[in-house]
Amino acid sequence: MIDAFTLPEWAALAPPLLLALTALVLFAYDSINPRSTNRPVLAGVAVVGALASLVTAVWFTLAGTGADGPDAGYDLWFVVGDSVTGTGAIDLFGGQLVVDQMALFFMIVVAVVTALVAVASYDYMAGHAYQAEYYSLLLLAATGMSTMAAANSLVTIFIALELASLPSYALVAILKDNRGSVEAGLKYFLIGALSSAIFVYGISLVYGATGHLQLEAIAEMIATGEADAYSGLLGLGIVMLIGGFAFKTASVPFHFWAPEAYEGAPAPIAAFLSSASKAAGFVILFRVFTTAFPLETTTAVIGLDWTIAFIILAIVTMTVGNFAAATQQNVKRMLAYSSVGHAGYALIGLAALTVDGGELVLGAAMMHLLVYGFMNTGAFLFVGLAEYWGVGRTFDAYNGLAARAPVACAALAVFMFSLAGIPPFGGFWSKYFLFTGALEAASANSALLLVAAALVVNSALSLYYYSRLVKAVWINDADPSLDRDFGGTPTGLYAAILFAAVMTVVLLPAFGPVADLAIDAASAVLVS
Amino acid sequence: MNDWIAIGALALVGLLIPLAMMAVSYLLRPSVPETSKRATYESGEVPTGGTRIRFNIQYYMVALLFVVFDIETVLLFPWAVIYTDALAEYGLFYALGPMLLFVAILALGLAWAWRNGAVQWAKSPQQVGTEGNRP
Amino acid sequence: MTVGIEYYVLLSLALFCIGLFGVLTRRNALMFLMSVELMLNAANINLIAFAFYHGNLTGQVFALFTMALAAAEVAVGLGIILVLYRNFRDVDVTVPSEMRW
Repeated sequence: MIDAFTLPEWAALAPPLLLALTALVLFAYDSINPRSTNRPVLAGVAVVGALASLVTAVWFTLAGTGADGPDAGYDLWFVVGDSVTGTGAIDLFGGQLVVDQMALFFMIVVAVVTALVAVASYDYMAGHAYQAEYYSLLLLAATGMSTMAAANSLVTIFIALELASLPSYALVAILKDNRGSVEAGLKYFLIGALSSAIFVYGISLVYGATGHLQLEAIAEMIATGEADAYSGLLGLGIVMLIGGFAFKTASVPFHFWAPEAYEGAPAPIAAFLSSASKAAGFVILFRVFTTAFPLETTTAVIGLDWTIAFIILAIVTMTVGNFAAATQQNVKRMLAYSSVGHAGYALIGLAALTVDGGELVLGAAMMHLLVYGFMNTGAFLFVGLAEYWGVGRTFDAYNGLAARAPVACAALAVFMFSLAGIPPFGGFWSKYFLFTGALEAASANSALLLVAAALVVNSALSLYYYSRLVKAVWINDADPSLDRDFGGTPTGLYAAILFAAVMTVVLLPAFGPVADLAIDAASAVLVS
Repeated sequence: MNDWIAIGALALVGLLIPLAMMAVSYLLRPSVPETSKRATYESGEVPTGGTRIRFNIQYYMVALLFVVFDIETVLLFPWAVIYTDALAEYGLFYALGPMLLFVAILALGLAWAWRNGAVQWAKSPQQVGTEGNRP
Repeated sequence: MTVGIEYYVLLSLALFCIGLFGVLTRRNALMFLMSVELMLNAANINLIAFAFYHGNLTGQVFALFTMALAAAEVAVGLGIILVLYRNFRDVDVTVPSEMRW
């Protein structure tokens, strides 16, 4: 075996760099050739860029980049760091960015969702005026989310978060003449601006209490007791940070933008925000709370265990999301509230952390976000397909769609049952791991029994409204008085939906390696 | 505590001077009311319409571009302060390269805005024609 | 004579609360935007005061980034408010209500 060619350390950032480069290429293309409607080239460049980012992220993961311990990865031709001995997380720019297994895991999620959305947008955005701008903004937002995965300092976290948010506001409102889209963009922007102001104030308070913004340095100040005198500032700062994260992950108390923004936004953008943006929000949430505020020492300083906050948030978020989803008549709104509910499930990953463990449950939350990236993107893209055909927005309007599009409706059934957590699909395993993880941690903190119970009750409730949609498309008959005129079969949308459905199913047999990877990544973060 | 007395005295003087001036001018000035004196512009120009009119959107575009490059200087400044030291320590490529990249990305943005007519104040008849054809 | 750090925190907290009050009570989208700017600047005061207090420059540099991001946010926000005005003939944030639960 020939020796692997070792790339320089900054090459570990290739996934976000490739996304940024693609965005700039699209931008340059639009500068040279303004108002181009050459959709094959524009969508093609965007998809190639997203796939390149995906391939490098998967490659690095397989090569064991950022992993620890001997034989961390396979011996591939190009590696960053040493794949045989395992060099551990790669620190860049003085620890401002870090590439470890968790970062690569979430870079994969972001790149997958971006590729799916770019493929689906080829049909959905047909006939729209701002093609190049659309794809450029999409990739810029993806760059921000991918950078969030690697951000290791409150500075880079905030900058990456804004880089992800600002293009998203514009993307939601991109249908300039559609009142719903503009209203959604406005509401998303107003709440986003408010939460980012609260977030940055929280950062300033944490900085005041510790004198550092780099996460490991903050943890060190807390551990050495130098922040003891400012426990109030630190506690208030942490609460404000949670507010900022709640916005990005669409959890209570900053969840109410989600149904409005998703309903008004173009369906591929709703898919993008509810999957990739949520995953990116969770990765910074996980990283900040595991790295900067380790449970034991932080509890000693602020006198309160922060898992309590996440236990409450998780229970409230999943209950609010699922109960609101159950009452919806509008399919897109139902999916929006269900995405709030899923944020609640993923929050269990932090709620069930204990002083000496929790890598199982944190890994389960990461797995859930990966599976969710496929099944939820697919579900929103199905709504995009329905909008493309001019089907109405309510459950009733979806009646009998299976007669027209059996393949897409079969895919929809896969997404719905997987979202509900029915055994033969990927969504079951991640929920199962979350459940067992919560039960395991319940021996230390009995409040987690409540969380596990809420998970079960909410999953049962979610089965009701998910199966209602499946029943509408497969069993109910279409209203014969509606003479619906379907357009042709949109190749891009179909391809994206089918790929997402296949991945949702394939992830079940492939769950072993994915689970191993996620749990490895989680334990690496928890130990450091 | 002496510093605070000085500040208080300064504030007091600051308040008293304008009040005293207004009082003196009130006592000294002759009062000859006349309608033309009450006009908004004493030059004799009669204002028409309200002040809440809509401005051309181009003002906003130019202001937006200004804000971008205004903020660019904020980020350039700390870099410029340490430039000589960084040059000696890291060499030309690592000291100058990142900032050139940053400015190049901003310049790309400006080029895009320029090409898409953000700084165009008037449209030729031909351009107006092609505008109408856009979906 | 140096001013104690607690006065800076009180000042920034007051500014933050003024901004928050504006956000919660104003219906004009532009006033909302200005209130958010106040909140961001409150954070900047904190960052710079603490940078001075702790004797490192991290906070000051971050304040510069915050200013740049605030400008970018305003640019996007004004664009959205502009299309809002074109569609609804108003900049009142309570007017758009196409969607209701």
